[in-house]
Amino acid sequence: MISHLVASVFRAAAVLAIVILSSSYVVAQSAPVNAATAKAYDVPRTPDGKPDISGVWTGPGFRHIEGAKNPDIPTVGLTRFKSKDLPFRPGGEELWNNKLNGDAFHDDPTLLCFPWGFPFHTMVSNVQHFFQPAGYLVIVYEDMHVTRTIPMDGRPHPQNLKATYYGNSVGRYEGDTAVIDTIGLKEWGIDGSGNHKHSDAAHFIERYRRTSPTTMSQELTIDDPKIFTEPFTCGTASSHCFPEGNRGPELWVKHLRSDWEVIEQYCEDNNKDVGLIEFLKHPK
Amino acid sequence: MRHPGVACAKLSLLLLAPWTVIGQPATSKGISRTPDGKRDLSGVWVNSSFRKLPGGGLSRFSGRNLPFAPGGEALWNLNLNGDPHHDNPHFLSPVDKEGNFGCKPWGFPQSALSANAQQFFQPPGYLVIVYEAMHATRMIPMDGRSHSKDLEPTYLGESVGHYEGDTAVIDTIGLKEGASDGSGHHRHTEAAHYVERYTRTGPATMSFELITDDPKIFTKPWKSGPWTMQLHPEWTIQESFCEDNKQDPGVIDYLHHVE
Repeated sequence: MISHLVASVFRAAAVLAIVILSSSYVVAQSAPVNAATAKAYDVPRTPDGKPDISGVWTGPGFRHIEGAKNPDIPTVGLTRFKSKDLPFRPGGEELWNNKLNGDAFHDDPTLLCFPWGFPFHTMVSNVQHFFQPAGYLVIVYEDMHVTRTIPMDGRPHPQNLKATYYGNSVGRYEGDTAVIDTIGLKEWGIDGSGNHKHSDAAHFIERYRRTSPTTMSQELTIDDPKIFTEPFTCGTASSHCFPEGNRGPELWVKHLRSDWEVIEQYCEDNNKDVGLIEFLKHPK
Repeated sequence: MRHPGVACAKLSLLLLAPWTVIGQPATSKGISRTPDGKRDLSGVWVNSSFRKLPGGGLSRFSGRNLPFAPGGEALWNLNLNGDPHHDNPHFLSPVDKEGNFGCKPWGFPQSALSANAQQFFQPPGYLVIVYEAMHATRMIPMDGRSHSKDLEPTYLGESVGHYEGDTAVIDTIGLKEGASDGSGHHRHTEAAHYVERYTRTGPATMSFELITDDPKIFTKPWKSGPWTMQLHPEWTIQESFCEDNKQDPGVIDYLHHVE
């Protein structure tokens, strides 16, 4: 098992974890996933006949650069959404764009180890281990050591949900695709340093589909009637959600890393985030 | 006409049913297996320390009659000094200028002893345990592999496991020095080595034993339990974040301010 080196956590800049790979690892990030490739791949099945999406996957924003001193670069920030030119309803843009005021509790409470929440956590570069026990999809996110346990039997949401950071997720399989529906969220940040927020009326749909032995597409449909006039989808096959020049669609491809494991990571322990240190020097 | 065999089967079921109540010896009746033939341990469980208002404390160890090595008792008992970052690092407390947070992870074995619910999953090759308290998760390969070499100590350590018949056996090393039982203020060292044994004993019960082997504190390993865990299929794991905790009666609601 190849061992990992854990670097410091940055909120405004990039690098969460740097891993040194063996040279035999094939670069997959540079090959775009197209419909023809995706369609041809015969997705393996779990023992109970579901599409097998299990394993350790990189999150969005992760890049592998051949020949670099540290070839595996998780890059936060490139998964941020646009601030304009989305289907805003009147007043929606003001709810979407978080006006910063210098107070960490307001601007970025994750700096103080509040949870990243959903869907932001699904967009983080750190690895995520997907497990498929009978009837569930269990996703363990390395960063902030959060786990989602998603029943995949097609059940509806419970009634009278209490709003939480990760909401209530229920799912099902549609052919080769895992489809997960989430509601019941607190109003919270949606993309970290992108400084965008979703409301407590937000409804999200994730779609994960294996596109090759080592890649998986990830799509997120955003339906937030307090902010937007209509739902829209972001991810591997969508470029209109991200700022110009942003490599969002390519970076949303997930890569399987069978030689990796999720390592322990706690915000509360040995936190050297430069944004935090600065805040502690000048607390508001 | 009713088939006499059917009548006998029904009578047998009625007589058998009372024997599957909580605490009865292991029986295959009502206990399923996973697709790969392991005893099904999946579901949402609570420890015997759970009461209607969850409160820890009943999962604390005693200091009595333990096989202490010379100097071991001093390592076992945490001497409180009034500093919350020392005495209660797992609770919410103000972050200081050096960036020391409260809400430190409970780690192992404290997470396993917690009164909060824990959900067991058995995906192929693994036992995945999701602890409601402090949202910790252990992903334990159950293929009988050995521990890794040169482990960096962590809060949850490295766990590897295997099945011995119907018992899940989990071996854990590689722990940071830390708490072994929370409010009991007892500690373990980096040399600690634990073995857990989980055995389904009935449709809604599972026994849990813990062997503690900490050669810097004790002269020999010793066993705790077996405790009886209860299955609650009607429950789900709740979201629990220490930084946003207004439900724990034992937590003083500090704001995050710098001292």
